[in-house]
Formats: sequence, structure tokens, C-alpha cells
Amino acid sequence: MTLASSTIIDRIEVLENGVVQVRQAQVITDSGNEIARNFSRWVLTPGEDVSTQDAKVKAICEAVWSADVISAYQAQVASQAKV
Amino acid sequence: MSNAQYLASLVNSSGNIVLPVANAGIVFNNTNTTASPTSTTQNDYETGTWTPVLSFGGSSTGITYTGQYGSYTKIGNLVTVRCYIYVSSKGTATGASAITTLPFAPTNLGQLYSSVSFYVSNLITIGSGNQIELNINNTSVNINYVVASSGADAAYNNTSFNSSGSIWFTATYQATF
Repeated sequence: MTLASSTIIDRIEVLENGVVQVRQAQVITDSGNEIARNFSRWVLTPGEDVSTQDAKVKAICEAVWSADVISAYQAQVASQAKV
Repeated sequence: MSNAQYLASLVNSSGNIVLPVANAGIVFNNTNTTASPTSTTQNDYETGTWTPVLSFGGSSTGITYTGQYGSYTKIGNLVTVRCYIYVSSKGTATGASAITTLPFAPTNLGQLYSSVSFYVSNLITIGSGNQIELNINNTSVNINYVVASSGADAAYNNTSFNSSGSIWFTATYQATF
């Protein structure tokens, strides 16, 4: 029995308005066989600083977040503002 | 393969039922004859954690924590989040206060904000007669208040925050994905 743990980004979801949802999985294995997978999530909004994100996440954000996407998202945020 | 054999084939060696197609789910009332999920398809369940971050005007400069804990349960498109943060320094950022990094982006429902059940301990000077409110909008939980003198909504900013204190909340909202 050899337990091991690894952390991977196992899902990157791009929404219609450019928001990116990231899922990180902690994968526990026993002698190479996966026995558990625990998730942690966060959301990245167009224009946000992604310099500390995983390389794949960063690449997708930079590819999706054109100036038009960022300005459209900012307009959406402003239109929904309660105060 | 008979229906019974097909259903049996969905059960893996761990005893879990695994649907073989992405976004496939359980269709209720026999209303969906298409391959795509509809409003009667239950096609998602997930639990996990998230790390709540306090911000002012979208910045978290100098904010530190004694504790930062978040968990979520997503059933279909409905997400319930739990949060606890204990702030040990409120930092120097300015602007409207919010808790960010929700695990799923909320659906844009216009002015239909999701309400939040919360408890605040020592973190905010609420102001005499003011009524604190937390609501979910875009990808943040906004920390606002109703001004006693006018009834208008306003956002708490850094100057209303004490140097340390905590917030607990539970909220349910509709996700976009």
C-alpha cells in the first residue's frame, strides 16, 4: 500500500461572457489506483490578473479575454450594480 | 443488449453509476427526447471547497486572515456556498467591499439578487439605524447596507471595517454552467 497525493487542474470552463471557472482536484492514489478526488474551485473574471494562475489557465484566459470581451463584461457588471 | 443489461453496464467496479456521455443526466417526467439537457434534466452534482477573499474595489492589498474557509454543494444549476473568514488585517485597499472567488459564476438575472444568510462579528461598524445586507451579484458577495436616513442602498468601504473580525454566511444561487 503506497499512498500518494497530487494536485491538478482538471477542469477549465469558459462561460459565454468570458468568465472562466477553474476546478482543481486533489487526487489520492493507493499503489497507483485512484481512491479519492477532492475538488476546489474559483472563478476568474475578464481582465483580472492571472499572473499567478496555472499556465494552462493563464493561456486560456489570455486567449479569451480580448479587449471587447473585457469591456462587455465590465458593462455587464455596471448594469447589474445594486449601489 | 437489453435495457437491464445496459443499465447494469453503467455500474462500475466501485459500485458507482457512471453516465457515459458528458452532460447526460436523469430526465424527469419523460419530457426530454433530445440529447441536450433541458430544464427537466438533472445532470450535475459536485461538492468541494473554495477560498473566500475579502476585497475593496476589487483589490485585496494588505488583507490578512486568521482563517479562510469555504465549501460548496452544486445540485443541477443550484449552488449552495458556505463561508467563514476571520480577518486579522483589513489592509489598505479602497472601494466597495465584497467577498470574491465564488466557486461558480452566478447567472445574470438582472435585479434578481440572491440573498445571503450571514453573521458578522466585530468586523464592520454598521452605523446607527443602518441595516446590513449581503447579496450575490456577478461573481461576488457584496457587503452593503440600507442607509437609515434615506432608505437607499450603499456599499460598506474600508473605513467602515474594523481591523479584525469575522463573517460567516450561507447562500444559494443559480449558476451559469
